[in-house]
Amino acid sequence: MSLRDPTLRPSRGGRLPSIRDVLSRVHFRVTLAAVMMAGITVLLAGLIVMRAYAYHNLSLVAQSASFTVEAALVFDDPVAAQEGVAPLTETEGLASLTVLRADGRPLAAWQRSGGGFSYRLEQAVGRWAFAAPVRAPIRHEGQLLGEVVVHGDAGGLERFVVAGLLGMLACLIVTAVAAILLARRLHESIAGPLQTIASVAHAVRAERALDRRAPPAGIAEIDELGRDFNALLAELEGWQASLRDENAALAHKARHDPLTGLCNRGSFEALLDEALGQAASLGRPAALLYLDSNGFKETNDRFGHAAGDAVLVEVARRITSLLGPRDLAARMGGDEFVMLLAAPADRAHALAIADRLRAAMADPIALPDGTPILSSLSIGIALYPDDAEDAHGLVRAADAAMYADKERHRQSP
Amino acid sequence: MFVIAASTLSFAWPFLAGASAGLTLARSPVPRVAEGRSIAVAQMVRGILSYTRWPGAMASIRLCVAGAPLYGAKLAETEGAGGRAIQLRSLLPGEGPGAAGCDGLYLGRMAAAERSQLIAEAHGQAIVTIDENDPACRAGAMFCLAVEPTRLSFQLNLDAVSRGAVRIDPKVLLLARAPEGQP
Repeated sequence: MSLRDPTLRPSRGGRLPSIRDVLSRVHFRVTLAAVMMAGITVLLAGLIVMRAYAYHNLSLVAQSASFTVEAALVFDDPVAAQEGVAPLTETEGLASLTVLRADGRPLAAWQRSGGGFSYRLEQAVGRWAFAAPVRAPIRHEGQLLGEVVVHGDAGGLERFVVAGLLGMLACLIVTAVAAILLARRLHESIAGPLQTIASVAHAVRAERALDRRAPPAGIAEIDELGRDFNALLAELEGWQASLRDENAALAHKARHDPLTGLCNRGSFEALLDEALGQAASLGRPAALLYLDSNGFKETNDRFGHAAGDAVLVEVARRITSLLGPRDLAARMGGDEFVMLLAAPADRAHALAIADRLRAAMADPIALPDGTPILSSLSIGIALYPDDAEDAHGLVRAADAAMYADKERHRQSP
Repeated sequence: MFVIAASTLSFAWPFLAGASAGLTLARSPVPRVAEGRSIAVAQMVRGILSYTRWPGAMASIRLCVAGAPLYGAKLAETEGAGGRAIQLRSLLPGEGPGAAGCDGLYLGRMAAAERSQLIAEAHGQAIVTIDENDPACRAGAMFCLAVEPTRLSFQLNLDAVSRGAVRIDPKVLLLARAPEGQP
């Protein structure tokens, strides 16, 4: 039998037996023991009974001979005695028959003649089985005239033993086949579900397929094992999901500004590179707006950091409300923000957005204590690829434009 | 007489095999021959009597000897088997076996008419008849001894046995053999 199951791979240099091997071996041993015990018991009992019958038969032959040769012995006629016992000598299991006179001289004698292994075996077994001959006295008118001495051989016994052994052999073959078939069935019901669980385990390990589950099995222990295994997989899956969520949260935290929820400078620079690459491949312009809150420092000094934070959150909200689906906003630090208008975004679109932003900032911002405050933004616009060929240049250009705008604010507040 | 011959059984006794008398005979001078035969005949007669059943129970068997027996010398020494003693008695000329109280009748040499008379009279009674001098067994006796140079045998006349008032044990029939010269 070959090892088809990869989980039962050879180890430590020796081949591990499969379940089927073990089952087959156990079944064969059990049936072998059963057949041997039953067979030997029946054979022995049969031998004992047959030996008793054979003895009985010999004694009947001896008594028949005694009756038959009585007259021949009375008249001391060996020929008649020989003729009288002749029909009896055809009895099976008879090795020799002797009619003895009272003084021990034989009146008639017969011995089975034969040759070959079978004959010698029968004689040998007969000597063993019928160690003592059967004797029958011959009496006439109350006087002992002589006796008949009969030896048996193992003609019938031998055939019985041979037939019994052949029967046992046939039973053994039948039971061996039955054991193999039974082992195959058991193998299907035990090893099948185990192999399914093993293949699920293998898939989980190799493909991280934590959503795989072992199907229910028809055997209680294996079913329980499968259910425990499934529960373990479910726990693993839960752990994996929570890890994924935590990782995502951490990644979000690393990329975003905790106060406003906008991208931070680091993540914005990476995204800006990506967006500019996209614009270059489209061959369309993209625009960057650099925003800075005017008078934020004064608000901070005057109303406190909580007020400053509230202003920043509100500014971020208003910036976000103007973003298109592919546009991006980020807090660059302090009171500086940027808006990236994804391609295609020309200067007119950027100016329109800037106007809308200024209009949005015209509404006063309510501080936590309820005080309304007006906050304006200085806005610098730079266009890719007109104003700069790369991200760094674009940010610098937009920053410069913003400072120019701030100067204008300062000169004409 | 074909019927009688056909229903006649015979029994042979080889002198040289078996009995001690026979062995003695083989090594003995001529006068001992007759003695050996007489012993063999006596044993055979004893055997025949032991297989004969009379209607009533008897303590002893009275064997009557008629005529001049050739081999009757040892009949007197015959010991009865099974506790029944054998009493030997010579039948006087003209004496009937029934009147003499015979249980068995041993027929020696005598005239054919007298033999027929005795046999006919015996078979009316419970008497077993043994004829010493009728090898072909045609005179009507139940048992006919056939004394040959090397062996002694007897024939059984089944007709006579079946008509007789005594019963012969069937075991004797097991010894049945065709008479000399017959298949």
